[in-house]
Formats: sequence, structure tokens, C-alpha cells
Amino acid sequence: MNPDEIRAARRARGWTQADLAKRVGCGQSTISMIEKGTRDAPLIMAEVERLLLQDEDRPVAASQALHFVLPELDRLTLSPKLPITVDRWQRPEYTGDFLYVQPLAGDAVLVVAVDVAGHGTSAMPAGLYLQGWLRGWMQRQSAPPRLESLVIEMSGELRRTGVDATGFFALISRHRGRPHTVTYEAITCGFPAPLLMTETPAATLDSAGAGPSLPVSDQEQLQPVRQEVSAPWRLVIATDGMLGRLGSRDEQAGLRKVRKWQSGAERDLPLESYLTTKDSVVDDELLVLLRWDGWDIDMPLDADNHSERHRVVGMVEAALEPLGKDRQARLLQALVEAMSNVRRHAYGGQSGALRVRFREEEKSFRLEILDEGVDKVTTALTSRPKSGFAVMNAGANDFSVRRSRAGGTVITLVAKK
Amino acid sequence: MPFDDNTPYEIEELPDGRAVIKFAPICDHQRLDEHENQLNSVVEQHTAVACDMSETKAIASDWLRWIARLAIKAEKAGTIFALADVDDGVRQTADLLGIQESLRVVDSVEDVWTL
Repeated sequence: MNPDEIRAARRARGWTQADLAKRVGCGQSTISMIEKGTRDAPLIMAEVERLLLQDEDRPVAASQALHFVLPELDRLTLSPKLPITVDRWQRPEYTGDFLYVQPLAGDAVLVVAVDVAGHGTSAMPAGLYLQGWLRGWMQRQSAPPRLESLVIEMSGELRRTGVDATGFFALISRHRGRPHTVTYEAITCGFPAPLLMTETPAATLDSAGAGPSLPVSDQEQLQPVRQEVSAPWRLVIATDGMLGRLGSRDEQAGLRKVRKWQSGAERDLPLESYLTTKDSVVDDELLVLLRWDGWDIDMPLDADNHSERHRVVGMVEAALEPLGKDRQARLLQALVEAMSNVRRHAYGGQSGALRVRFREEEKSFRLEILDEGVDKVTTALTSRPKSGFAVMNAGANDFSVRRSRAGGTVITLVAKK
Repeated sequence: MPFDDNTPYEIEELPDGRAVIKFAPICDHQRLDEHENQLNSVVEQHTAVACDMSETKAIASDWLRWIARLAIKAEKAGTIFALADVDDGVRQTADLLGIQESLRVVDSVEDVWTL
């Protein structure tokens, strides 16, 4: 659209320049300059055109449409060196909120989540602008950034542009020499406190609490939270709008719900199952789940495929050498027994999906054998104490069998070093 | 010795009514009627049967239980039947399953022929 067409379309809607500016999320003077053809602002122009050409406000339509359909969920997997998966739920047409994930040198990753004040068309251009600014700032860095510097620089940009936003900033770096351990550093500025959780509910870690709302001055003391976190862990980042919907407009209830999901058996469920509520969207939403499920071996196989089973046994055998021959043999015997049980009990001797995972942890070796079949294993555990379960139990220091809420069974074998 | 994907053992016929059943390194195959029939025949048709476990580092409990039943069958048929060169892990598994009494274990295949 050229400047004259923009002016005509705006007037046809009965909007003043200030009305349009408010919807776009910029100043009235910017609209004035665009209509005079004296301002070149591609992102704002794109939003202006979208607003003027659409039939009605999309946020309203979107809020009515979303109940159970969640097409906006996406998943990002970082490099093999950083086995972090990122599940993200975001309403791009409805929010200025955004997630920025940038793998860095030295097996580190920068995570920035921003909640732009307001929602819908007023917040979106500001969100897009901030994303562009953040990319540019990162490109100018010659070394991995310090979180404090980023927060102060972004605060300055927000002050200059008048954008109102809160943010969560985290730097996650792999701990050298300690498998599956990361250093977690975070600053929260007015953003709902994220949840940083390990697998055991009792070990839920303190996360960065709500700090000063952006913009902060460089005189303010920013105190990053620094922790060492061992796998498996998950970091849940949610905006207040998201928590409000999950908690039926009570953010604290939403937070409790997320905590419960992430500490219980539901933690294995895909993110979309959390987001299925009957409450319609009334605010912008962003929910991100970062997981470190790093495994040294993670092999999907067919329970009835002899060669695949033996291949994984060989891989685990090599990884278990530090245990010594006797304990290595017993754990291998337990693994073989577990896979044999899955084939016989979960799949009736037929083909079926089996997954074997192995991880060396700081003080132990952990093996998980997962299936998606009929759960006869947990029943057999109690009814046949002299069965193969005795073999599995004897092969490991810790042995457990649980039903997976996603279907099937998870057998866990842990051998202490 | 390469093992068939569906069969975790190889049978070697020796002179004087002897046979060696050599088990695979990992014996967790699906147990089929044909396995049962074949090994039952070996026990019935020979005077001495050695189960060579020298390469077997892991065995599923259903196979081990079934070998124990085969041993009982052999005893009834008057056939010498023993396991040779058994890994400690496999021995411990037999203990856990409560079947060690049914299994005669010797150091080597050669020892079976002297029983």
C-alpha cells in the first residue's frame, strides 16, 4: 500500500491516526510520517497493512476459536551437544510475546522470553521490533553475552522506544566433565517466575523470582540466580496470560497446575495435552517447556527384532565397563530380561515399539526400558515375585516399574557407581 | 559361530551318541514349539548332551527355566545332561529363579563326557 492508500483505508474505517497507532503499538507521529511517505518502517508498515486490509480484528476471532485446537505448538531441538528440546506454545497473531533461543559457542544456550504489555495488534509490532533488536544485538557480540549486559541494553532500548515489557533471561551451559549437568543462570524482570524442576518433586529447585520490571537502569543491582542442575530437568516459562487461562483466571492456580503436571506422571505427556482447557483465550499467551532428557544411548527398536535388541545390549555393555565384569553382567542380564518381558507381556510375543535409554549420571548408571503395549508388567510384578522381576531387581541397586500415562510401561534400572 | 536370528543355539552331533548344544551370547529369542521339539529330540536321541554356555553372557529367564525342564526330562530318559562353562551372571539368575537344583553345571564340555 502506498501512503495515500493507507490514509484512505484508515479513514474508511473511521479511525484517527491515534486510533491506528494504538492498534499497531507505535506513536501517532509514526503513522503521520508513514502517510506522508517520510518514514520507512517495514515491520510497522506490515502491521498497518494487515490491520487495514483484514475484515475484523483477528484477536477476537482467535479467542473464540481456540478451545482444543492447538496448531501453534512447535518443537525445537538444539544441537546434539545440547540435548535440550524446546516445546513452545505461542499465539503469533494474538501476542507480542516471544521466545528467543540462541545456541552459543561453548555448549551454551541463551533463552529469552519477553511479555510485551498489552495484547493483540497493539503488542505485536513491539514484539517483532524487539525480536529484531535482540537478533541485531546478539550479532554484535563477539563473545557469549553476560545476562546483566543484555538486560541493561534491552532496558535502554525499551526506554527509548517506550515499549512496556517484562522479560526472563537465562543462560544454560553444559558442565564440562560432568555428564548431563548444566549451569543455569537466570534473571527475571517482572516476568512470572519460571519453574525449574528436576524429576523428583522433592528436588524442585528455586527459580529466578520476579525481579525489577524492565526497564532497569544500569545502576540497579541485577542478581542472577546460578545453579547446577542435573538431568533430567525441565524449565517451564509461562506468561501471566497463559497461567491465567490454565488456572481459570487465577494465575497462582495456573502455576500450581503446571507444577503438578511437571512433577507427576503427566510430565511425559506432550505439551498440547496441558493446554486443553475449556477457558477461552482472553490474553496473550506464551508457554515454553525446555527439557534436558539427555541420554548417552536412546534407541528406539522393535521388541521382536533380535538384531536390534542385541545391538543395544552391545552398546550398553560397552558403556557399563566401569562397573566391573560381575556387576556389568548382572545389569546386562536385567536388561535382557526386561526386553524379553516387554516382548512377551506387553506385546504378546509380537512386534511392538520398544525404547532403551542409557545415561551415565554423576553417581550411577541409569537404564530405562519403555514400551507402548498392554500394561501387564506392573501386575505381574506383584503377582509373580519369583519371576523375571527377581532377575531385574537383583541386577540393579534400584529397580522400579511404573505405568506410563501415555500408555505402556517404564522399567527403570539404576546401578550405583 | 554365527547364530540364526530366530534360534539361539546350534546343535553339533558327536560320535558315540553325544551332542553339544551351543547357546548364543544373548539368549532372549522368542521360544517356539519348534525349539522345544528339536531340543526334546536331541535329549531323547543321545546318551549325553552338553549345553555349551561359554559364550552366553545373558539369558532370558523363560529360556533358563525351560533348560531346567529339559534337564529333568533328560534325567527321566536316562540321558546325561549338563551345562558347561556357565557365566557367573547366568548362575546367579538360576539361583534367583530357584532352579539351580535342577541344573547340573560343570566347568567344560569335556567334563560332561566323564559324568
